[in-house]
Amino acid sequence: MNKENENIEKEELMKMAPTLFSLERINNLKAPEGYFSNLADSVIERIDSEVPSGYFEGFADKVMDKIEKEETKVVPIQNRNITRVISIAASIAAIFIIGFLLNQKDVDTQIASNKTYLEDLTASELDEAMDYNELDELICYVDFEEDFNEESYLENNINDIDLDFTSEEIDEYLSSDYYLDVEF
Amino acid sequence: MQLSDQEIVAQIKSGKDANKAFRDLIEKYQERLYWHIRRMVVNHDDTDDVLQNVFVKTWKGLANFREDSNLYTWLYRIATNESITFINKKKKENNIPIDDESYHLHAGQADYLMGCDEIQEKLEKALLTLPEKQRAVFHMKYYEDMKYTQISEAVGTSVGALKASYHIAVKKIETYLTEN
Repeated sequence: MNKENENIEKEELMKMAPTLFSLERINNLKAPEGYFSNLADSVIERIDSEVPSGYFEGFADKVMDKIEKEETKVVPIQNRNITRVISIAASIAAIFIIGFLLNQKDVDTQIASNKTYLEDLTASELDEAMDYNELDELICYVDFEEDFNEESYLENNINDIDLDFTSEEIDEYLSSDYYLDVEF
Repeated sequence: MQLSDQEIVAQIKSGKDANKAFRDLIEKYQERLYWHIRRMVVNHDDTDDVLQNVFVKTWKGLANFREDSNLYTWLYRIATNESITFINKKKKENNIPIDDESYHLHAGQADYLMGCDEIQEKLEKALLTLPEKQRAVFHMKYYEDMKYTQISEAVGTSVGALKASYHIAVKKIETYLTEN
């Protein structure tokens, strides 16, 4: 952090939290004596029992082998039989065009039928239809709730910061110039 | 002479003296990661478990680690995620709701605050009122003087959200210090 930013942050802290600012920044917590001199041994012992020995031996060779294998799989297109490629592409295009035309016909028919259906609906039938849609949404929601798995949700969301701010806190934060001043 | 992060990673991946290089990595980062985790999980034994898991995961994950990435923030990220997973697991085991932030108050608070003078003890108590991740953000900014961009990579949150989170943490601590 450059000196200027450091000063801005200090000044902000002094304004925002004078008591905290006046305290000495020391770590009050203690680790047991000798803990850090033995940690590497304990970890390596655990790794030896959990990870196959020689895991990284020849690792670079394995990676290079993999890269080479992947490269050999890619055959330049100009080396292939060009006529064969064109005929396959033309067949695929034909399938898509026919499919699209058939589908378009279905869509047109459906729009026309929906139009007639909506014109014939009474007000009460429309209300019913609305209720049905709401019910449908509710069913989707219940299904989602049932499928919801707390464990996997937590696994996937552990990176979300705790943003449990009250609206007063947000107002106060936005009205301060703190978030504008500090460069990072 | 201490090896650079790139040298350590390259040496481990080459397989030559991998164990020795990994020991260098542990010795280089163990204290910083310990305090980062300890701020979140509070008690020493739990911190030890989490920290060992972090290094085991680091060893297993180094094979896929891109050498142009920042080892320092990658380690912090693993440590943050491991700590939060551990805390949530503990809460579940003790039938405490995941969003209950007061669980650590049951986890040996007396030991945690031993040897502090009165005002520092108050600061430690104030820190315990913050949610775990906000406490970690406060620790990285206030005690370790890390840049917001580094913290952002370490906890996987946007810089804007982090600044807001730190700002609110500071306000809460100040209120606690002045009102209690």
